[in-house]
Amino acid sequence: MCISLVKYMTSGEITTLLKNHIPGDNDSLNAVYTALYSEIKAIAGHQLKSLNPGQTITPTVLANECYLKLAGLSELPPTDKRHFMRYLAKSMRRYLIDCLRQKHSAKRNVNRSYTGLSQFIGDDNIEFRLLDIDRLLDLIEEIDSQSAEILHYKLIFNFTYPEIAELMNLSERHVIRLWQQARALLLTLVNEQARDEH
Amino acid sequence: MNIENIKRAHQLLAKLSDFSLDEATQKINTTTELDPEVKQLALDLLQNAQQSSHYFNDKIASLFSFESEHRNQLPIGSQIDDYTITTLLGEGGMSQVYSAIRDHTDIQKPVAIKVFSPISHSTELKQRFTSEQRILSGLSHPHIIAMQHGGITASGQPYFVMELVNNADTIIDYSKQKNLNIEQKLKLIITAAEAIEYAHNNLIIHRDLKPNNIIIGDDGELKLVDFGIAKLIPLNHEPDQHTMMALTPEYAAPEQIKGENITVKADVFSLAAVAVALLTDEKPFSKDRLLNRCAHDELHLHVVLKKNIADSDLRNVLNKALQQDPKRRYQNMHEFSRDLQFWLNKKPVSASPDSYRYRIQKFCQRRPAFSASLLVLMITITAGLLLFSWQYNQTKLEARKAQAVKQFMLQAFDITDPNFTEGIQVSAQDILQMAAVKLDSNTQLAPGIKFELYQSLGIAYGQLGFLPKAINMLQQSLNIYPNNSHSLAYLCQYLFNANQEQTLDHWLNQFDENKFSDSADKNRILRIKANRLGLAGDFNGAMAIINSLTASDRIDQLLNQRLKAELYYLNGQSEKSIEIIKQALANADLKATNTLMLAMNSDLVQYYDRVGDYDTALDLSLKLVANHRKILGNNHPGLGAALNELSIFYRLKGHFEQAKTAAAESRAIFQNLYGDDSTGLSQAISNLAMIDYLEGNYEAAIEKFSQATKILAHVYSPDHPETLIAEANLATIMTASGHAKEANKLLMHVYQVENKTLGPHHRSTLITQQSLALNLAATGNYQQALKHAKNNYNLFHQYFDATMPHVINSQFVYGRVLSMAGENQQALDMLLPLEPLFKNSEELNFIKLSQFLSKIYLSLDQPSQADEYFNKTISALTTVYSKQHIKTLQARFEYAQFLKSQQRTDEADNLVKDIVSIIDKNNVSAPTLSAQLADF
Repeated sequence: MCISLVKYMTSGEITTLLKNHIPGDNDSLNAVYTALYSEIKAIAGHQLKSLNPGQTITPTVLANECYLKLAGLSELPPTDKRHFMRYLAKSMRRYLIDCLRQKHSAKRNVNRSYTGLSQFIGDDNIEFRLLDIDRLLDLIEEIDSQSAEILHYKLIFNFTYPEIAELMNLSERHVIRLWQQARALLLTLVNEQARDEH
Repeated sequence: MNIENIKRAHQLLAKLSDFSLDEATQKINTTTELDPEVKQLALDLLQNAQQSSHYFNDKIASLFSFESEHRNQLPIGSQIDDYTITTLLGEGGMSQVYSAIRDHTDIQKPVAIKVFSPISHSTELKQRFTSEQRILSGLSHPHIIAMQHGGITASGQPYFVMELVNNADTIIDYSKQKNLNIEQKLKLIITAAEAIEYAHNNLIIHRDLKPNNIIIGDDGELKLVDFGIAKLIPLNHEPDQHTMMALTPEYAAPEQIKGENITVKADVFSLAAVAVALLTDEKPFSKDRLLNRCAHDELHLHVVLKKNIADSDLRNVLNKALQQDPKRRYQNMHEFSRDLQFWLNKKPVSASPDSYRYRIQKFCQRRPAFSASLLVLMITITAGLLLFSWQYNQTKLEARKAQAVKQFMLQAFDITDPNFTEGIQVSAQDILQMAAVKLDSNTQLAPGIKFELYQSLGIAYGQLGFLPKAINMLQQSLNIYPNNSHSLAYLCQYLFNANQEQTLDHWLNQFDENKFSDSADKNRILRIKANRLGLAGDFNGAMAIINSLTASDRIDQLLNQRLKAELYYLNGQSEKSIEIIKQALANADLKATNTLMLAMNSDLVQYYDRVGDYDTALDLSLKLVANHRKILGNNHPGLGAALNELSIFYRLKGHFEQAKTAAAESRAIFQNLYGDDSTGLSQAISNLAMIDYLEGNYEAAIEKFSQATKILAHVYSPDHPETLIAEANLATIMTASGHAKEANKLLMHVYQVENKTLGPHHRSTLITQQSLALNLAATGNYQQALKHAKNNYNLFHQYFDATMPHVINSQFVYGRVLSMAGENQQALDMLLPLEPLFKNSEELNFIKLSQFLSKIYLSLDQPSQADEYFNKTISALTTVYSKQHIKTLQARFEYAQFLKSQQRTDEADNLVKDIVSIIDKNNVSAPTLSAQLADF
């Protein structure tokens, strides 16, 4: 994992960015993403150093770390919090894809050390798969932003239903239902895409 | 991908979130939303919402949860408990294995230590690990890697210490290296099975059986390893969700992949999958089985097995262990390994089909199913279409399409275009099988459609004569709609054709055909009932039923007529049969190649034969053959079957050369079309065998019959009635050629089974009894023989018409047995009346009769009559076989011996001289005879 030396932003700086960013304004949005991305990377590197041999890092843990670190953001009003989660999730996705790309370009030994993904998906390039899903997640955001939100919460942050319910200010039951619908939407899109490709 | 449409579909669905699945489906179908694509998307969404979260996790969630870093390895020399790491042996998904040695001892026996990734948050997991390893250390079995103990390191990594296997190879590598054969490979599997069974008995399911977990050390000992995700068998059966990530889908059982309840049967499945990989060098399942939830498993497996494993019993065993539905598998390891062991010992395996009831057709050559092979063409194309449409768009087979396909298949009753003769597929059966398998494993077709297809396939199979499969398909259709009269009617039909009497009884008791709304179906059932009565000798009862039938359409009427004709035949009134058939054929508005037409013509041949109108019979038979050639060409299975029939007919007439030619051509056709594996081929070879037998080439006959039997055992199963018929024929030949003792046991067995299942006065039972009686007499068991012969004679006369050939034969048998038992006067009384009956029609029987009579008269010391019959014998032999045939010569030699004994030495000498000169002039090969003549 290459850890580049990056300026750490303080939580305050990110909050400011968020508060000040104008919806629809690409420049300020980009700034947010860049900041978050760097944060994620830094935290990831930091985490790894502290791990024992054999231990691993997962996106969930990483995301949680990020969230915790930028603890000042807990003071954010709920809607802003959700915005932040959204940006974080998106940044996380970028980060994951980049990690995967790096791994593929490095030399691998035959015994893949990561949890049998290749067993699950065959010898396909996992990176591409993730890219597809990534793209579809963007699509889903266009179709129904609530679905996209839930997918982020479950797939990347691995929040529990109560946590999501609190975040979104909905009943747990409602959250579960939305989650089912969101999954169905994603699966359907995956199938549609597969069909298109043939 | 149209975003707008997807949006609309999603919104549509959101509105329906409170409805049940069926209601929602209905609402979608009847919505005011006009765009069909939107509707379809909504349905897709609805369906995908039903997918379990497992499916989602497999496909998508897993993408987000990989490690983002190489794992660090433990450095050499580091310590775990009392051990020092020496080398890294290997790495797996969740663990690393090191070799290590124990500190502080002189014993330098290395161990293996398996270290897992640290379990981060979950104390629950930690606890589970601890209890698991405690249980696993309790397993003590020579073929399971001994677990010594385990623990958790300071840094939170669980580990096991276990026995180290030197230079271990996986079971597949080992077998490749040592070039093992099937038996050796299976022995390894059986060893593994026993070890797993032991674990099961200790409440541990392995759950991750795969070649890498079955290793063999350099001492040749097999060891099971990595009960690493083995779990206690849960006492309350909750589905287990924790071990998804570590699974190797290639060998996992479907219930593991689907996240359902896991039992010991999952291990049975996995071990069988390993066995397949071991035996075939191919993977049993396709790569994407996880994503497809095992939908293609059966098909893939079928292809792999068919391609690589020749023995159908072995295939059956493996198939049974690899059933998708755990309920249909072997219930435990023991059953599986036992069947494997049985197979190795060449005993019958439980996985092969059950013993059917028997239909013995030894002397009755009516084979109604042959004509069905004409349907091969149509079915091939149709089944191909079916497969194609499935493959093309599996989830979208609309009801309309299914209906069209079904219609197409059912119209296969009529062959409309002779141009279809091109491109006949050898693998029609395989294609049908694949279609059937695809149907079985397709869980997304609506029940209604599945039902249609099962029914159609069942009937198609039945028309082709693949009765077990037909029966299976129809039963499956009845699982969906249990009261469907069409399926019930055809199922009963095929059960009857296959003589599964008990199963048939069972089904017939399940319903009342009078309640069927479709009269064609009702008639079908009634015809079966009538037919059964007819076969058991109750002519009047059977006719009563037939006369009460009202035909629903012209086909139905023809079927009724056909059965009527058969009843008359069974009752000895074959003239009436002819009348009925002729009229039916004249009025039938069907093509010459229609199956029913051909079947009825085939019947007609038999009836003409029975009334003694041999010219017409032969003529018709020849015409049938010519018809086939003209319309369907020289390479058609229907032609092969017709040739087989012709051969039998020629043989009965004594025209051996023509019989041989016909059978040989049939054999060539079947071999060309189906290779070494078809009933048609078996029949052809049997026909050739019969001729060998009649010409006195017993060894050749026995060899061919054995061949024919083997084919049948392979195509059906060793216990199948067809196989047993062939074996009984073989027994008969063996008896006649002096190997009576070997034949005896076989005949006894067949008779006992028939007696029990069909009843003592069923025609088949009685026919077998005749063979048995003769065989017993031939082996000297005269008491038994007489008992059976007499019983047979009485029963036949009691239940059947006296003019029927089998009834006459019972007299013949009784007479012969009497004579063999030394009761010559009684024998005479029995046999003499037969002379006029055999003289003009049953040449071969006549010869036999005359021979017996001559011998009897000799024993009764009535030389002039003996003389008369010797001459009759010789004259008949000359006519049928020829003057220089060895049989004729042998008979004449016997006569010469008789003459000598009567002091008619001159005549004797002259006769012998004549025989010798014929042998010389015609170069007859007769070493034994020549030697005897020389002695004379």
